[in-house]
Amino acid sequence: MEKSSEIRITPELLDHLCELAKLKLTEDEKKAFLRDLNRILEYFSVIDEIEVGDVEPAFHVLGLSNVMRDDEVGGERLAHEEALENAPHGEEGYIKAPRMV
Amino acid sequence: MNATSALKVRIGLECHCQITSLKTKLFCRCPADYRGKPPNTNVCPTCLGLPGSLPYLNKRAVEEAIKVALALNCKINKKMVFYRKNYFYPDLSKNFQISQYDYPLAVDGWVKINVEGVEKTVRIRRVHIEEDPGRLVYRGGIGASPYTLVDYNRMGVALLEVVTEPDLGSPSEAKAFLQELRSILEHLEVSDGSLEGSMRCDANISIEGGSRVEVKNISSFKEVERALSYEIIRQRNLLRRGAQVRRETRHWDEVRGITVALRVKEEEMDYRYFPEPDLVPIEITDELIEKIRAQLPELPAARRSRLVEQYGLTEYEARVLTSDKQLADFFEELVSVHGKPKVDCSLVINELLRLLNEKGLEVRDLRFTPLEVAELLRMVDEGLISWKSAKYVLRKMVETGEHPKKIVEVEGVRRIADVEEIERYVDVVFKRCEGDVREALKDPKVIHRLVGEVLKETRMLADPKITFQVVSRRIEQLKLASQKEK
Amino acid sequence: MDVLSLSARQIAELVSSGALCPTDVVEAYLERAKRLNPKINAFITIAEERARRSAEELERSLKKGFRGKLAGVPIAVKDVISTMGIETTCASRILKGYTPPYDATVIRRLKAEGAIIIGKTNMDEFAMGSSTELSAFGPTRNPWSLDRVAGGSSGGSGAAVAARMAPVALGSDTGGSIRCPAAFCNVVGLKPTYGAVSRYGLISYACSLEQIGPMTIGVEDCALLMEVMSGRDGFDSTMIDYKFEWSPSDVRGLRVAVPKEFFGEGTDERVAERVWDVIKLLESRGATYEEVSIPLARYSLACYYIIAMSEASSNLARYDGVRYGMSCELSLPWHEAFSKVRGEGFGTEVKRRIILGCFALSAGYYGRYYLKALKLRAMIRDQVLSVLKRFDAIATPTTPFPPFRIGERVEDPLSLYMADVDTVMANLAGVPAISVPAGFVDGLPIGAQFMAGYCREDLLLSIAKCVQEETTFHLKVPSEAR
Repeated sequence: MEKSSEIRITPELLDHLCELAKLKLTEDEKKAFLRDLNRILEYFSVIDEIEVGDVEPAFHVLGLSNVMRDDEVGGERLAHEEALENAPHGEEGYIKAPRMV
Repeated sequence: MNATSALKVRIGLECHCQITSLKTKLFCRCPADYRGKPPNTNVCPTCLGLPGSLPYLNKRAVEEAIKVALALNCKINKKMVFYRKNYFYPDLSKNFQISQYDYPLAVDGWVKINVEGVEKTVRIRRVHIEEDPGRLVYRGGIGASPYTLVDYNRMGVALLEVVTEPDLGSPSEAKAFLQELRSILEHLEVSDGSLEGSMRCDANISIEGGSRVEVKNISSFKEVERALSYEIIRQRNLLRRGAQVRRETRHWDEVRGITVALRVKEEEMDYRYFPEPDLVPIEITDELIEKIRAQLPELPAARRSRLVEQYGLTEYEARVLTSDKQLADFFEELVSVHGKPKVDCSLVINELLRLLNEKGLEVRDLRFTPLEVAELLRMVDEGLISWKSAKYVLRKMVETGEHPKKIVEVEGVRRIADVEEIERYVDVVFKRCEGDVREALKDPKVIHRLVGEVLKETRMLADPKITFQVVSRRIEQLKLASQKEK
Repeated sequence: MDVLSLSARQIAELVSSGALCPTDVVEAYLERAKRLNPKINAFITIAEERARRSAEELERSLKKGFRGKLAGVPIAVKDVISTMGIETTCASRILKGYTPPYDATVIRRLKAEGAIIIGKTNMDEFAMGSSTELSAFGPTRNPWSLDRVAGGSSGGSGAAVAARMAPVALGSDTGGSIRCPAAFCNVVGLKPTYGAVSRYGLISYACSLEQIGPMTIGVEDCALLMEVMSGRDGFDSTMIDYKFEWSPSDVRGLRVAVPKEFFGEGTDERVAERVWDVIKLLESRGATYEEVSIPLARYSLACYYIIAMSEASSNLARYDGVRYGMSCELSLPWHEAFSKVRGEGFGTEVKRRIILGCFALSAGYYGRYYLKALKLRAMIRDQVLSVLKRFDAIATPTTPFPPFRIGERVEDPLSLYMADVDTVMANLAGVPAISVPAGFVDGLPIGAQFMAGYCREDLLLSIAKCVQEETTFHLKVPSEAR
C-alpha cells in the first residue's frame, strides 16, 4: 500500500472527482488545482507518522447516543408557496429540474 | 434438452418496504401519508433539504424495524449508525440519502418459503433503515420529457431495506419469497402492501457461468416475476449463442416488458459512504429487543401451524390463507360465526379469492363482512339454496354489496323445497311430456328423464330429492289409476 | 448618553425600563452601519426596513408589558445563519437571492427576547477561510487598519462589533472562525462546547465541528447571548443536555496549562509575549500555570481539514440550482446542468475543498484519510481531555501571527490554513474556547485563547472577565469607528 506522501491527484483522477462532485472546471482551474491540491495532500501526509490502530472512530465527539423523537406530526411544516418561493422554476406545483437524458 | 436450461439460476433480492404504520416521516415531523396530496404540500425545511436543516430520528421507526428484523430471524446489532449515501439525483433533496452501511440494524436472518409443496430456506443478509426519495414526473416518458418535474412529498418517508442472499433459484421462488415477506409485514402491521409504491424491489440475477446483472426499477412485487422471467431468458439466450453476459445494471421497462442497459457510467457509482454527522449512534439494548419480541403478534408461519391444528385444514389451505393477512382474518372471523372450517375455508379460498383476483380487489375493498357470508352459508345449510346458487349470490355480493337474503329474494334463487310448489311444476311438465309419462309407466328409468325436465323447468332450483319423490309418487298414482280402469 | 457605547445588557435594561426607545437605538446603529460599511464592508445586507419595523413592534409590545433579556438590542448575524425573510447568501454567488422561509433556532430565541436583527455580515464563502477575503462580495477590511484582514470566516461580525456598527454579533466557528476574527478585531469571541447551541438553521460546512457563538466587546454580553441561545431545541440531534449558567468568579486557585507546541516555531514572538503577559496577569490574581506538552497537536490541522473537507463535500452537494439559489440551465441534461451551475456559482477555495473532500471519502482512500482522521480525532480529544483533568484551562495564542495584509496569503491556500493552527484543536476535541483581546502588535490587535472542559464556558468567561478587569485593551475603539 502506497504511503500517503506518495499519493498524487492525476489529471484523470481530477476529472473523475469533478464528475463525482458535479463540478465543471475550466482548463486554467484544472491546472491550478492539480498544483494546489497535491501540495495540500502532501501536507496531509503528516498523519502517516502516527498509528491509530483499533481506536474507536469519533462518531459524535462527546459520545452522545440514542437521540430520538416521538412519532407525532408537528415541526416546521412549510406552506406550498414557501416550499416553492426560492425555486427558480416550477410548473403546476412541481419544482422543475433539467431533463433526465 | 438444452444445456443452458440446466444451468443454475441465482437470484438475490433487495426489497424496499415503506413503514406505513408511522404517522411521520423518518427524519422530520411531516406526515408520512403523502398519497393523493398535491405536489410539494407535504414538506418542511428538513425533507426539502433547505440549507441549515437537520434530521431528527423517529423512535417508532426503529421499533417497527426491530419487529421486522425479529420476524425475519435476524441478529440485531447492538450499535446502529446511519450513513450518508452520496450521489446526485433530482429526486434527492440533499443529493445524498441517509441510509445505513457498516452498522446496519440487523444481519444474518432467514425466511422459509414453500413453492408447490417444496420447502426452502432463504437467507436474509441484512435489514436496514433509510429514507425514501421524492418522486419524478415526466411529460411524455423519461426520454421525451424536455424537463423533469419533482415532487418532494414522499422525500424522507421511512423505508426498510431487506436484502437476501442469492438463494432464490427461479422467478416463482422469488414470488413466493415476496409474498411471504409481504404477509409477514402485514401480520406485524408495519407495512400495508396494498398501498401503491409501498413495496419495491431490485434484483440481482446470475446464471452459472455468467456475470451478475442488477435489475432496477421494478415498481411492485407483482412485476418481479415478469422482470425476472424476461431477464433469465435474455441471459440464457446470450449464453446459448456463446456470448458473454456483461456485469451491468439494467432498467426494467414495465411497458415494453424488457430490461434495458443503463449508461455505463452509472455502474461505477462511488457512493462515498461516511457516518451521518448530524445524527448520533443508536444503541439497541437487550431489554428493548425482548420487550418488542414479547409483543410480536402471530406471524404467518405460526398461524399456518395453528390453522392446521385448530381447524383441521391442510397445509396447502393454510398457506393460501396466510399468503394474505386480510384473507386469513376473513376466514377466521367467518369460522367463528359459522363454525364449519372445511366449508368456510373452501368458500374463502376457492370462491372468494377467485372473485377477488378476477376483479383485482383486496379483501378490504369488499362491501360485506364475514357475518353476511355466514348468513349465506346458513341458507345452504338449511337447504334454502343450493351450493351452486350460493356461489352465484356471493358473486352478486361482491359486485353490489347487497345482503345475501335480499339477493336471494330478488334473483329468485331460493331453492324450491315446498312439495306443493313442486307439484305445480310437475303438472306443467307431465302435460307437456305425455309421451315420456306413458313410457315411465312401463319403464321406471324414464322417471329420471322426467325429473330432469322438472328441474330444468325450475331453473335447477327444485330440490332434486323431493322432485324425484314427487314424480315417482305421481307415476305410481297413474299406474294404480290405469290398473283400476282395466 | 452615547447609545453606541452601551453594552447589550445596558441597552436591554434601559429599553425595558423605558429610559431608552428601541427606535432610537436602531437608528443610531443603522446610521453608523450605513456610514462605515462602504469602507469596512462588514455587512452583506443591512436590513433597514425590517429593523425599523421590529423596533416599532417592540415599542408596542413593551407598552403591553413585554419584557425581554435582549429588548431593543441590535444584533449583526453572520450570513451563514438562516433568517426568515432576510436574504442569506453564505457570501456565495450560488445562494444569491435565497431567502429562508424559516428562522434558525438561535434567531428565534433572540427575537423572542426582543433582539432586533440589524443585518447579515460578510464571511468567507460557506465559512471556508480564515480572513474573510474569499467572499463573493469583496473582503471585509479590518477597522484597526483598512489594508489588513479582519480574520475569518466570521470577519464581518468581528469588524461590525469592533467598529460599533452593532453592540453584539453572531459568528460560527468550525476551526477558529469566531476566535480568529475576534482576535484580529479586538473583541471577545466564544466557541461553545460542541452541542451546546443548536445548529438548526446554521448552513452547514462541517457539521461535526461547528457551533454558533457570540462576538461581543464585554464578557457579560457573551454570557447574555449564551443564556438566550443555548440549550436543546428538538431540531438538532447532536445537542447535549446543557443549561448555561454563569456568575463571575475569581480565578484564584485556577490551574492553567500552557502547551509548548503552541508557542514554538511559526508563532510570532511578539504575539507569544502578549499572551504570556496575560498568563502572568492571571497568576497575579491567584491562578497558577504550568508548561505542558500536547504531542498530538502536531496533527490537528491535517486531521481537521480532512474531516472538514469531507463533510463539506457532502453538505454542499445540495446546491444544484433546482430548489433555491442560482438557477441551473434547464436546456441541458441534469448532470451537465448541475456541473455547470456549481462550477460557476462556487468560488475557487470552495471548489478545492469539495474536490479534496470527495477524494478523502472515495473508495480506496476512505480508510487512509477520512476514517483515519476520525480515529486520530478521538486520540486528540482524549489527550486534550486528559490535560483538562489535571488543569482547569489551557492557554495559547489565538493565532500565531497578527492580522496580515489583504492579499498576502490568499493566493497560497496552505499559508491561509496556517491561521487556524492554534484554534482547530478545540473543534476537534469539542471543548469550549474563548478568545479575549490581549493587546496590540504594531497597532494591530491579537488575542489570547483559553480552552476548558465540556460545558465549562463559565470558567472561560471568568478568566476573560479577569483579563478585562486587569486590562483596557477591549475598551479601545479603532480610529475608523470614531
